[in-house]
Amino acid sequence: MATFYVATESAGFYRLMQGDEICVDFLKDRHLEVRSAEHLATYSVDHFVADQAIPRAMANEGMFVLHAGAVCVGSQAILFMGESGRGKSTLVASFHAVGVDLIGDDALVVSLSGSNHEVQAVYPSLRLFRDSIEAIMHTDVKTSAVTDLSSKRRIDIPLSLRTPAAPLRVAALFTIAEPANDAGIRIRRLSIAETCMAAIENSFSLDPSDVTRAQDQLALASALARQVPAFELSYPRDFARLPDVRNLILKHVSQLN
Amino acid sequence: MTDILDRQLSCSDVIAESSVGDETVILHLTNGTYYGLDALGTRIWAMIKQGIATPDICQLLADEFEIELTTIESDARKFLIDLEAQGILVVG
Repeated sequence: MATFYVATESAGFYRLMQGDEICVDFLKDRHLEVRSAEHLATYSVDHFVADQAIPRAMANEGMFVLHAGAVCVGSQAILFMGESGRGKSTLVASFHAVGVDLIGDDALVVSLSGSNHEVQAVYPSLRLFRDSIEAIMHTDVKTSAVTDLSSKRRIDIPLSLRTPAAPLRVAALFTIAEPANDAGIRIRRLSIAETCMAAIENSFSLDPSDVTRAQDQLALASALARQVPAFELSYPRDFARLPDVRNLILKHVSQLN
Repeated sequence: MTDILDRQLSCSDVIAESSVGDETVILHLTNGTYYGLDALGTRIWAMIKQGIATPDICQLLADEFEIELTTIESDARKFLIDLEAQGILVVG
């Protein structure tokens, strides 16, 4: 498994490493210096920079960057948070496959605009394992490798009018929990404190020991939790049940003010 | 050992907190851990910050919620011991 190492600022800069193969230095002039082992595929380096380094750099600049997927429904965004492997990308892809606009499946910047929270993807990504691709996507979908460390495939998302460019108002947050024992689909409203902590837990940071940044993250997560309704979602990992899952999500969101 | 309910309690100075609705999220600045207090925990936390003596806190809650004092004391004891163990409360 790849390991990350973050140097403290006492060294003059932060360094993010994947084992001894990729090294990204976050220099003081907001410049990232990337070095990688010669044998490494370009796409592996690109993945590390785009999906690990850049979201952390943005967080270190004071942005609130969630590790989450999102889709656009009726000009508003629905966000899905959860640990890696919980099914965020599959769920987002299943919405996209039935014509819902994709925002992204990995790193989302959440910001307060007036009295609403808005979201924008760091970039419109979608990465799935082959079984999800076969079950959900059209047969002619183009894919490419994400990294040599994972069998996930990057879905080629053509930039079009269907890809939201401007920030969208966040209508609701969902955290994806483990499937329930009875294979049912459950949605439970989260308290504001639960929402706040879930948002922090699923946010990017560069230096978790940076007290000032941690306090800022707490304030940003609290503001988000106070304003946006959030739910815990559990469902069986069965592709055949995804339509029911989507319908229940949309029903809950439609009932919100 | 003296019961924690008979001790003077104060909030640690290495925490940050955020009020979220009627709940509270506390960040321990040294170990980076986050804690969530529910509505009752938030009430107790607020009274500690106000400097209300611990025995008075339990009596006030018992009166407010019309619950047996012994029940409140039992729940409060567990709650306060947990907060002290996490370094959020200082007992002195």
